[in-house]
Amino acid sequence: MRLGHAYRPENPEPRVCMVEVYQLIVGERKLEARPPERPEVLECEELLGADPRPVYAFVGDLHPKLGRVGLVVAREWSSAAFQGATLCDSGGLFMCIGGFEAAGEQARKHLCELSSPSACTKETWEADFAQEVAECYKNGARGYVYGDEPTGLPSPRGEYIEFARSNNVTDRRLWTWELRMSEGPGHQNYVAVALTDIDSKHFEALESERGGALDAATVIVGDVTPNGHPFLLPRLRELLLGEVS
Amino acid sequence: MSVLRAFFNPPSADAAGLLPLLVDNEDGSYSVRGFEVGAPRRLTRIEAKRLIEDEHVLQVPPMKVPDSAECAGWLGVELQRRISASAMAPPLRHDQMAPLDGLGSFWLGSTADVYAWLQQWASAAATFVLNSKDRRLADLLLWVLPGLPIVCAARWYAADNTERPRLLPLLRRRMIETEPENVQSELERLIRKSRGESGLTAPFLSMPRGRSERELAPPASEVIASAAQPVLRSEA
Repeated sequence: MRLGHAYRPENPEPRVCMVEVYQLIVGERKLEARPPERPEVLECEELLGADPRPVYAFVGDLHPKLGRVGLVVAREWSSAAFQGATLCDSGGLFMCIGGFEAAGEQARKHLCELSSPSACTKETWEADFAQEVAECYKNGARGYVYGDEPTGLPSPRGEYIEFARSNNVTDRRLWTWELRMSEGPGHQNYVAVALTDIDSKHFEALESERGGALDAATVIVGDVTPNGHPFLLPRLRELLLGEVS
Repeated sequence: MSVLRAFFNPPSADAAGLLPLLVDNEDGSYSVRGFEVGAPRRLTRIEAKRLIEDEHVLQVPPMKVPDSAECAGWLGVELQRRISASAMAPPLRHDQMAPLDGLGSFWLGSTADVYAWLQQWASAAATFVLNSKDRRLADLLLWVLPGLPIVCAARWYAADNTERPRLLPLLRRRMIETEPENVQSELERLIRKSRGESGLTAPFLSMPRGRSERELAPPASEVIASAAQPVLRSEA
């Protein structure tokens, strides 16, 4: 399974944003840690011992709320830059957002229990993740990538999911694994980039100006009709699953 | 009646397209309309506020929207300027369009209706290119519906032999319903078919031509050079 990073551009204007993305893909610049939007993010990272400030990724997922450009990255990124893992969204748990509200005053304790080194390490995370996917998802890895809700997750995540379900705030960040990396991926690690319809027009204009289509990464374009948000396209899910190139 | 609060996907002055909507249901919940994949889900007021604050969506002046409005048709001001000077200006319905911050104009409708409008305009203009070899218009159509096979065919037809090897991979990416190895033959089939079936020439040929696209918009390389080195941020 591959890793997803939803990139949020410094400048949301499509033309400038696509220059940033193009430069990432061709290796003219490197993804860096995003400045925190809330002070709690720094507190959370301090609790997790995340130093230097990490670049985040979700295993097998791109979350539309975290950025509008989807970057699918090979797992080799984690071999080179693994800093830590959490078995759910660390920031959401630390701040008790949505279903994580169930953690209440135990949030910090839970976060430490669900994170490296308690929960998994650089050496074990892939095997630990594979075991959880096999045990808790009826459709295995495909079910995880397509957003199935897991069954039988041990406490406390099982309780978060129960709480979220009863309050209608279910979000897959309650069970999606997060990796923290000490640096951005090497440009050779980018497998695909998922763009909105309008962004893709700017990206292709840039490609044309700079010599033609990039073959370094697959470009996936989301239409409003008929396929919707590019992060939700089956083709992108398959790329995250890792079964297609 | 619900109220339009924001567009998903920041629109661009250079492009036309469809924009999904973030709609205030005025009962304490928000909805996203226009994405057809994924189960429809209501957002809380707090979630919607975060989307706006974090610039995932572009906030627009509040506007009542009928239940039938699923998305916005979008026409960027720069594209409109360039294409109005071409032989195939879009048939605009100004009375139904609203301006947005000097970026462009939009109108609301069902996804099917808005797409059909864009498709008919782009198809007619592409057919015109296939009978005129208007390279500039072919370029502009890539900012409208670049995945429409007839638009790809028009762009291919307008390209010269030195450009075609670089163009083909981009068209392969866009023509997702055609096997990559068959894209070139499909483009040539479409060209033969459209040129044989249509004789679209006048009355558009007599319209004045505008300045070149390059004069009107700085090339992306200039944007690269002028862009401050932005700090690239990770998810947090």
